[in-house]
Amino acid sequence: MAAIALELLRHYAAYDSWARDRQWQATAKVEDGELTCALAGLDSLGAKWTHLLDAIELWLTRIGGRNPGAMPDPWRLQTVKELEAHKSAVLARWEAFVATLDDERIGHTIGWRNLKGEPAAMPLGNILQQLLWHGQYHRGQISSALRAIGKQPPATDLMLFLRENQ
Amino acid sequence: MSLLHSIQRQFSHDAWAKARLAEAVHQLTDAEFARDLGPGLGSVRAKFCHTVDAEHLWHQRIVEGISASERPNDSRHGTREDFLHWYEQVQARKQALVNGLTEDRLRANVSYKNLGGKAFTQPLYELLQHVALHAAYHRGQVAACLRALGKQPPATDYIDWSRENPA
Repeated sequence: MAAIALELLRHYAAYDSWARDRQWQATAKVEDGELTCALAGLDSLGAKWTHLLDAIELWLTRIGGRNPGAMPDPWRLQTVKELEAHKSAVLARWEAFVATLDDERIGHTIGWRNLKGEPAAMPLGNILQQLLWHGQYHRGQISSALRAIGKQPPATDLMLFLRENQ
Repeated sequence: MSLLHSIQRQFSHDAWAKARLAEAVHQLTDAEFARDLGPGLGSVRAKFCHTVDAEHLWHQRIVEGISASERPNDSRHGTREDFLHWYEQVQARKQALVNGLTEDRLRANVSYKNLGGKAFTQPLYELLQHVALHAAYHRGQVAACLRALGKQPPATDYIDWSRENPA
């Protein structure tokens, strides 16, 4: 059984998409040099985004039955244009996947091998919750990275989402 | 799984993650805890205290019917001991609220005013979702502050907790 109600999972996924779009609007305006500049404690704005997207891609790949042995280098994308292309490709897969969810599917156990090759298994709903909360954790860091390069990060509180979508 | 159980699990994970961060704070010196790490990061003290203060604010609105009109200074704690005492108090109150939830109560409306005095009415589960997401957002920022201090932040991923706490 998944450890989260489908109603809540869908709600978090809608919020996640809205918040990511708002942060992307701010990120799309930065210079390539600002995207890749190293920031203490935060890697870089680009590396944070790339890690976030790579994690989604990793899990979609595992759910699809393949087990990558390593995460790609989060520093590999050097321009906003390259990052945007990666974002569009990963999120198209993610949104198509989220649209297929139902109670039965989120309760289905997914088996995978972690990056060390060790076997693991968990209901799909728990994996999706991990991805959504991982996204929120790094959303905080992307805001910090935007602020560290002198930009004002957008407000992404759930309350704002709820008020805009009532 | 019910909404009630889902929300309670989220707060169990949150409590576990916060306890790990609190332990990391305990390992710092008071000077490291308060150090301004520059634009974007602030300090461990300010980021962690902001999260705890927000939870106190929401607890007051939900349980006590009090809507504060201003946020306390998030750099007011002079020592880690002082802050950790505050964190434990707020955590205990929040846990009592979460333990006492029912499905009906979660879906019942709560009325409150925001810091600007504007009135809102929303179901309790929305307020608690906000509290949990706000904490996760700032957990990432506290971890970044720890890294900027040269420390390894603790793993707080949901999946690590969920492995030890299956539904």
